[in-house]
Amino acid sequence: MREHTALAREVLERLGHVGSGLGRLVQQREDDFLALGEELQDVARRVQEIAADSRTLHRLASGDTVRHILEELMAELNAMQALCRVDEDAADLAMLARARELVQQLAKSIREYARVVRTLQMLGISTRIESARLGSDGRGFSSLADDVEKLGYKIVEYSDRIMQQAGALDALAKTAEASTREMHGMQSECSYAAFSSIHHSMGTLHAMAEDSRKTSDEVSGHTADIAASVGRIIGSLQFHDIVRQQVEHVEAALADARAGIERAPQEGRALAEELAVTTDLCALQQAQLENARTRFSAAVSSLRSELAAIADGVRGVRQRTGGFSGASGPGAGGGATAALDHMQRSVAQIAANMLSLAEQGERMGHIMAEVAEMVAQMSAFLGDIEDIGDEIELIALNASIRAAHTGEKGKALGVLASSIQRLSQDAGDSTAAVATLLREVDGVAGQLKAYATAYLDTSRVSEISGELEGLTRGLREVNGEAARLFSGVGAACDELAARVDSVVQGLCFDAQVSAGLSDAAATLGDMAAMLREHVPEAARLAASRRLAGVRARYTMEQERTLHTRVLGGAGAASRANGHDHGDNVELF
Amino acid sequence: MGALIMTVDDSASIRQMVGFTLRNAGYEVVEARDGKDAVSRLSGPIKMVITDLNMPNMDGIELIRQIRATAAYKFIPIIMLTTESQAARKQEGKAAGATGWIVKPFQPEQLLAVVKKVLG
Repeated sequence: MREHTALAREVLERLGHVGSGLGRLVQQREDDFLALGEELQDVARRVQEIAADSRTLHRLASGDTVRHILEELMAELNAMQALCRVDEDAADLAMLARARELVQQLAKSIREYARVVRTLQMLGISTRIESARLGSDGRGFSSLADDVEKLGYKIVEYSDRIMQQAGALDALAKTAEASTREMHGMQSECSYAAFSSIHHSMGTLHAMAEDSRKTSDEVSGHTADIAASVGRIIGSLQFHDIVRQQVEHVEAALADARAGIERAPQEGRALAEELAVTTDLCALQQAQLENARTRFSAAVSSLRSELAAIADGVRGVRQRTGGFSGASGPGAGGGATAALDHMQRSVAQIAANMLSLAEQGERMGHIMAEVAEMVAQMSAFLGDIEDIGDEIELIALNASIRAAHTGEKGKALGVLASSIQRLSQDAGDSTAAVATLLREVDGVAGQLKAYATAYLDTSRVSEISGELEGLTRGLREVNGEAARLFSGVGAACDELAARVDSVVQGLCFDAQVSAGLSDAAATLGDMAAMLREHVPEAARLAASRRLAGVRARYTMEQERTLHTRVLGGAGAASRANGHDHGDNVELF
Repeated sequence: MGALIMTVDDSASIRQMVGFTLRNAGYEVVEARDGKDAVSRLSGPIKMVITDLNMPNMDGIELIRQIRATAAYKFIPIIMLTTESQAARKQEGKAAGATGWIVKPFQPEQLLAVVKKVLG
C-alpha cells in the first residue's frame, strides 16, 4: 500500500489536470449551438415560405381562379355553339335547294310558252293571209295579226329574260349551296373542336384538382414532419445548457475533492478519509461524465438526423412540387403548368376559329343577300307574265268581235279567233303556273334574306371573341404566376436542402467534446481504481456518509439516478404531475 | 399581435430556443440574462415570465419574489423552466409564487400549451 502523502500529491495533480478546462469543454461550444439555432430559425422560416408558395401554386392550378375561367369559358362556348347553330337543321340549305328546284320548274313552265309562241306565230301568219284574201273587208284583221305577232315577240323576250335570270340564279344558288355546306362543315368542326377542347380542359382540371389535393396533403405531411424535426432540434439544442450544467457540477465536485485533500493533514486518518471520499467521488464523476458524453453525443446525433430529415422533407416538397410541371424543368412537360398552357392555346384557337367563322359568315351573308335579291328580281317578272295572259285574252276577244262583224266572209277568221281563244286558255294556265312559281320564289327570297341578315350579324361573334381573349389573358396570367411560383419553390427547395446538407456535414464539434469528456472519465476511472488499491476499506465506509451529502447538490434527476446507481441509497425520482402537458411539466 | 412574454435564462441558447418557439407562435418576447437583468427590464405590458432557477446575480426564486412584490405584475403567470426537478425546490418556487414548473428540455408544443393555458 502506497504512502498516503505521495498518493495525495498524485491525486491532486491528476484532479487538477482533469478539472482544468472541463467546464470550458462544453461552454465554448455555445457559439456553435447559437449558430445552429440561428440556422434553424432561418430554415424554419424558409420552409414555411416554401410550404405557403407550394400551397398557393396548387391552389392556383385547381382553385377558384381556373374554375371560374373554365366556367366562363363553358358559357362562352355554349353561346358560340348557339351561334354556330344559326341553321342547326340545315334549313338554309333546304331553302337554297328549294330555290333551285323552283328555278328548274320555272324553266320547264317557260318552255311551255314556246308552244304558245309557235301557235301565235302561225295564227299571226294565218290572220294576215285571211285578211289579204278578204281585201277591204279584212283590213281590220291586219292590226289583229300585228297584235298577235307583237305578243309572240313579247313572250319570247320575257321568257328569255326569265330564263337568263333563272340560269344566273341557279348558278348562284349552286355556289351558295357549296359555300353553305362548307360553312356548316366549319361550324361543326369548330363546335366539335371547342367542346372537345373544353371537355379535355375540364378533365384536366379535375385531375389537377385531385392531384393538387393529394399534393397539398403530401406537402402538408412533409411540412408537418419538418415542424416535428424542428421541435426535436429545439429539444436537442437545449442539451448544451443541460450538459454544461452537468459537467460544471462534476468540475465543482472535483474541486471540492481537491480542496478536501488540500485541507487535510499530510498524513493520518483524516487524509485517508479524504482519499476514500475522492475514490468514490471519482467513480461517481466518471459515471456523470460518461452520462454527459452520451447525452451530448445523442443530442448532436439527433441534430444531425433531424437536420437530414428536414433536408429530406424539403426534397420531398421539391419532388411533389416537381410533379406540378410533370417534368424535370420548370414549365416543361405535362402536369398543371402544361395543362394551363394547353388551355390557353385551346382558348386562343377557339377565339381564332370564331373570328374565321364570323368572316365566313359575313361572306355567306353577302351571297345569301345576292341570291335573295336575284330571287326578288324574278318575282318582278310576275307582273309581265300576268300582262301576257291578259293581252292574249284581249286579242282573242278582239278576234271574235271582228269575225262576227265580217259575217259569212269572216267565217275562216272566226275559226282563227276560236284558236286564239283556246290559246288564250292554254297561255292563261301556263301564266298561272309560272305566276304560282314566281310567288313561291318570292317567299323563298324573304327566307333567304332572313338568313343573310343572320349571317351578316357578326356583332355577337366579336363580343364572344373579345370575351374569349379576356379568358385567354386570364389563363396566361394564372399560368405565368404558376410558372413563377413553381420556379421559385423549386429553386428555394434546392438551395435550402443543399444548405441544410452543408450544415449537417459541418456539424462535427461533438467529436472533440466527446473525446474530452471520455478522456476525463477514463482518467477518473483510473484514479478510482488506483485509490481503491491504496485506501483502506474502513476509511471508505466512513467516507460513504459524507458522500450522501453530495446528492443534495444535484439539480437534475439524471444526476441523482446516477448517484444512486454508483453509490447506492434511496433515490426516489421526483416526477411532475403535468398530465396533459407531459411528465416534465407541473402546474401549481 | 400576441402577448408580450419575458424569458429569463443565463444560457443564451435556451433564451434563443424559448424566444424562437414563442415568436413562431405569434408572441412577442423580451429576453433577460438573469434575475437582476429581468427586474431592470420589468416594464410595459409583460403578460407572463418564463424563468430559469439557477442563475448568477439573482436566481429565479428571488426574481419571483421581486415580481410578486411589484403591483403591476403581482398576478402575472410565472413559469419556472429549469433542469432542477427536486420536489423541495418546486415547493420553494411554488411558495415564492411560481405558477408552474417545466423541467428542461422542453418540447415547443409543450411550452406553447402551458403558455396558452396560463394566459387563458
